[in-house]
Amino acid sequence: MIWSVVVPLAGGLAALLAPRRAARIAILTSVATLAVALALTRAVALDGALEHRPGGWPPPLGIRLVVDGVGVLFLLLVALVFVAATVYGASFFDPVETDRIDTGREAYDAEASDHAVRKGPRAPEGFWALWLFALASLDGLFLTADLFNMYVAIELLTLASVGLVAITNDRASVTAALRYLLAGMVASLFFLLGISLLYAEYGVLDLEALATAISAATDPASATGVALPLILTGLAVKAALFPFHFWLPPAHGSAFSPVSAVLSGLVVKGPFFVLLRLVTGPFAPVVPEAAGLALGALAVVGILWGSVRALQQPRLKLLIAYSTVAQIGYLFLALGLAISDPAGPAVRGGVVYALAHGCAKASMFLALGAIVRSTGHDRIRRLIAPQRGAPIAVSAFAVAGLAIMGFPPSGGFVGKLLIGEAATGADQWWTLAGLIVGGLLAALYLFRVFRRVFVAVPDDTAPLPRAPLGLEVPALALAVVSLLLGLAAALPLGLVS
Amino acid sequence: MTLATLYGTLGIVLFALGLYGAIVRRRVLRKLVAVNVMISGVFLTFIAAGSRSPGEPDPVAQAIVLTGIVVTLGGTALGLALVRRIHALDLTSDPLEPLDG
Repeated sequence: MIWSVVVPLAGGLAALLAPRRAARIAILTSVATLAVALALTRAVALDGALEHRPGGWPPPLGIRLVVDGVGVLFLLLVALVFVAATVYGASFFDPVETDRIDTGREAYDAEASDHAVRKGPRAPEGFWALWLFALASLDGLFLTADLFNMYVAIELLTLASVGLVAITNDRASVTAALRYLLAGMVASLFFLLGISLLYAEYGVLDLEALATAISAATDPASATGVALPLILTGLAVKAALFPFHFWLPPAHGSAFSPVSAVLSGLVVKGPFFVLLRLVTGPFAPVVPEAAGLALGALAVVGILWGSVRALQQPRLKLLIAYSTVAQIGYLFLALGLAISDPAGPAVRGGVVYALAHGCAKASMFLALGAIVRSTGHDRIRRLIAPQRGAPIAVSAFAVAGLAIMGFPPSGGFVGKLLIGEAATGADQWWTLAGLIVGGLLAALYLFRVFRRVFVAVPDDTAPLPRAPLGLEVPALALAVVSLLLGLAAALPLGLVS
Repeated sequence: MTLATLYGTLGIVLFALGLYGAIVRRRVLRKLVAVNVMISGVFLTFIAAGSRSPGEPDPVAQAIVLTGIVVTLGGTALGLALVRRIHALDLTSDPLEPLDG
């Protein structure tokens, strides 16, 4: 189990020591991490949750690592997206000359985000090491069963993500990274203050020991009354729940495409996973129903706000980033419903939705990078039949779009169905309304993009250069996974319950 | 009022002061300093939590504070590096001025 953290950590160090082979090391490392995740999945499917005590120390001295069905699904998601994004990154950064004939059209759009030059940017120094450190801290976050260790993992994740945003090295991205860092640090401190109050009350940090202490306490609700809101707020800022989403669009919109894919698809799922683990675990007896309602209300507003902002964006990359703000809302809807009914379908719905969104959103950012490589910009109005240059990426975008809209065969649909079922069970009609309106708005903003595919090509436009296959295929692979998740939803659902 | 309660209360006051600064102050360096005030507050509450029981102080709380200091140092250093980088990328900007755009 510990290999899920050790492998990417060792890979990151190796990438730092051998910068010339860093891309190859990163591919090998991510594939190895996927193999570890698959082996863990098999073990959990056969024997149930696993526990590991590094160094053999029992708690309270040692820190336990625990992986259950939900944890192993997130490990798999992370490993899968990382393999695709790493393969993609290897072609993204490899400078490939395309045979574009310069027709005097603007070859460089200074406002287009993704380095509108037709050959890829050079891999910045240290990029792959940071990349693998982000993978290690994500895996660590999904494995740890100790509150303080969660804080450390989540803070390392923030530092690695901030570095990955800043590495683009232009004014917009570094400013976005600084904002991301400040928001992330303040959020962690809320989380940490909450942990310190819990520690003062119960004297334990291990989740299982905390659960025992809380259920044995005479008046647990008053003791956790201050700590709980602090922890919820801190993690909600990290997960970019409305109105704490302000840092997300500039950061995800200015990073390199593979980085945005990992940030939007995976990194915001980290704090969501921690919250899910806490409110359905040790905090289940003490979370007031009002907290669930408040989270649900913010989630609905976030879905509407994120979708409306996505509709207004002139650039495709920011459209996808705002779509993430909306999609986070669905996860928090599930979380709010799980607070009132921890055994209900909300948990399963939230997990499946997180998996589907992770694959689909990563696929969209990867597809966007391929489209930009071909067209040189990401202004939606000026995209004219982008499938001429990146046919596979455009198909990937469409397939991933099905999952984001929640169309029937996709994983997004199954997730929304389960969340809707939980909402009906809890008599929350407004949650259901938010789900449906959010889906319609997602269809609206995605069709803004889809219709550019059918724009007639004026005769005098030059043919678009072809995007490299290394950029297109990983995008399609992840889109297909998000679709298969719906067709074979029974497999992950079996692991959750 | 015990000493632990005093320290814990002081810690929460520091946290609140730092939070106010991190939100209200517009200059980046002040925001970073305010975040560091916040973390000192959190550390104080941890130390207070560790000294609650009579006798030997709790080593776990001290270990946590040490780890926390390392993590915060990393975060603050990264923040300062980013401020310098913004200035290096755009020499017209003043590194002490508020963030824009």
